[in-house]
Amino acid sequence: VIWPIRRAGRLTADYLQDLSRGTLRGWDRFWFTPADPATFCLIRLLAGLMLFYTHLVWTIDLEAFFGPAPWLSVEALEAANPSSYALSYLYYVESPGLLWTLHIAALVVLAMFALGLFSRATSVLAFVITISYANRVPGALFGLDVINALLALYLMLGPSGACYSLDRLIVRWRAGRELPPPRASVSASIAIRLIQVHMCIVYLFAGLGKLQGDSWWDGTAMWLAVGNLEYQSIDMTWLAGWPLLVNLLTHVTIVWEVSYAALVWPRLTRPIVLALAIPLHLGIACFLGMITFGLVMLIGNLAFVPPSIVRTVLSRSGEDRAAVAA
Amino acid sequence: MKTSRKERKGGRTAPAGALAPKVAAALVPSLPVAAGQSVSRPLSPRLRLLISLALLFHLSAVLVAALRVPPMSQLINRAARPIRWYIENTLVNPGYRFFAPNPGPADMMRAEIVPGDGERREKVYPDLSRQWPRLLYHRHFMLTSRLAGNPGDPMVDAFAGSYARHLAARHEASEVRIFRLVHLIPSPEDLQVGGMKLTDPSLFVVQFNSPVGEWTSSGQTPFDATRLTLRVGADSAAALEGEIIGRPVRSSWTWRPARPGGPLGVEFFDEPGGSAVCRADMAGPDGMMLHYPLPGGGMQHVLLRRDPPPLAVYRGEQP
Repeated sequence: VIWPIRRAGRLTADYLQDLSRGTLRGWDRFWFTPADPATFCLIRLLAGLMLFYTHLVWTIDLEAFFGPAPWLSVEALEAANPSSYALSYLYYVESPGLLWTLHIAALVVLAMFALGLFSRATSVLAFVITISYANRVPGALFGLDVINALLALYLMLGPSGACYSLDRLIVRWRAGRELPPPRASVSASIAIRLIQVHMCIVYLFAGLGKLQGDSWWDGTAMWLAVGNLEYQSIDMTWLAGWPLLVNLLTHVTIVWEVSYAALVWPRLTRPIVLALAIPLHLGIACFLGMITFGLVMLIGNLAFVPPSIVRTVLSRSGEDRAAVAA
Repeated sequence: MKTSRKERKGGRTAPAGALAPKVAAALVPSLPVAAGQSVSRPLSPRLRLLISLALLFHLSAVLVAALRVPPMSQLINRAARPIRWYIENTLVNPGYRFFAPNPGPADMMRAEIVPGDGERREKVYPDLSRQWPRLLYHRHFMLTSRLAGNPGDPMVDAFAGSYARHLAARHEASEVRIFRLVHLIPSPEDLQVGGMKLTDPSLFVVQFNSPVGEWTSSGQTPFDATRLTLRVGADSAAALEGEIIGRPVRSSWTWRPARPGGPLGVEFFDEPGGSAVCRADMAGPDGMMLHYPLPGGGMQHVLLRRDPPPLAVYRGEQP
């Protein structure tokens, strides 16, 4: 009678031991295996340009959003959310002169960050700037700002200026010769892994949130998106005559979002998942008037592109040619 | 310090029998390094532990923030409280419910602006013809979408009041009134069969899921002697005044929604906690059927209507 119980106990203990060891090894391997920073640096370049553009657009109506009589006063923010912890240096700026000075300084920092100049310092400043602007005007934010902040947060953790940057060009100019590929590092691994995991969480909750709505089940959600004139940038209302196509687009979108977190990891399914991201986000960019949001989501998806592919595609520089050839 | 090729490809080899790492390695590709690329020195176990704890904290915060969207559990609400400072300052707090639960109609804003010269102007936000590039237009669109609530909601009140003050300053206006404006989405059949356009005026409505406002009976019913004014305030106070079939009526009540979550009805009370003395049913966004018990017995049903109430009115007071 006791033998099967002992046997079951031993199997359970073996399983738990295997599970704990495997988890620890998997965790260690996932986060702490040094990684080539090529993909990470490409993300810095593109996300940096997006951050620069996002903040450049504030310039057009800067005082309306951040000036002395803005759309959203600090008092209104306090009344709407009295227990907020959100920090922003822009809360304390009252003079238009100071506002413009800080804004121009922010644009210079973001341009330097995009180009990879003094990347370590400018990456931290870029994150502070991104959060400060976002926290000052929470009512004007949308998905673009969320993904901008996500990327800015992780870009300051790794060696974002290790390649495709002015920092790298300066080092090469000082050395007077072609340089070997930048060092693979644990910080690059952690940062790129964080972008990957966070993108999975974004898509998972975007998908789960949609499952609460009828239109994502009855297949009409895509019509509700294209039938919204305020979002529309290209008229897609001809879809009214193609209800089955509307259903298909709706179902593909929700299945893709919900399954992204599972299917983007395996080698076999990753290319399919990433390939589907392109029409989906370009569709948002071109048809739903959110060019910046569509593009920034694609930049986030770049985190899943292996550095070797990035180097192959961008192999104009000597160091990349050397790395690809090797 | 250089590592071996095996280490660079994916770390240590798992011992025989340990299936989990093999499965993990197969499922989650490592981040390969280029051949000939130098590799940074491995981190010490203590540093790995510290970084691991920081990663666990951060990812937990991201998950809690993603779950902290209504309807949320008490557990998530409590878990979020001590880390709000973190999730608000990493901007992981807005959740990721893009176009969820359903892509909805566009929440816009109509502003009546009376400048110093007294000539009333009307502006609708967002407006693609005035806000360019598209990102700036979208900023205005997001501002107006925050008004998708009812009068009395602290955020709607605060934001609408702030928008009114901004427009007053911008246009040097003596009065600004902010109204919610919703642009409905027609069905495919409306376009296909009815030939409707997305710009059809009938699609622009003022929508409220709230009885707040001033309601009046038209007096053009068989009971022409019924003329009522019902003022329903955002502060739960309600006042009824006028005549019902020629009988004067004057009451001060408190009110509350009759059926939370269902079609909106309103119950009126003499005292909070007492039983309802009167009730009403919403009949469309701007219609309400008041069921008034007559003193001598019987019930009088009075149809009341309201003009869309402004979300905020600015008349020159200091912010």
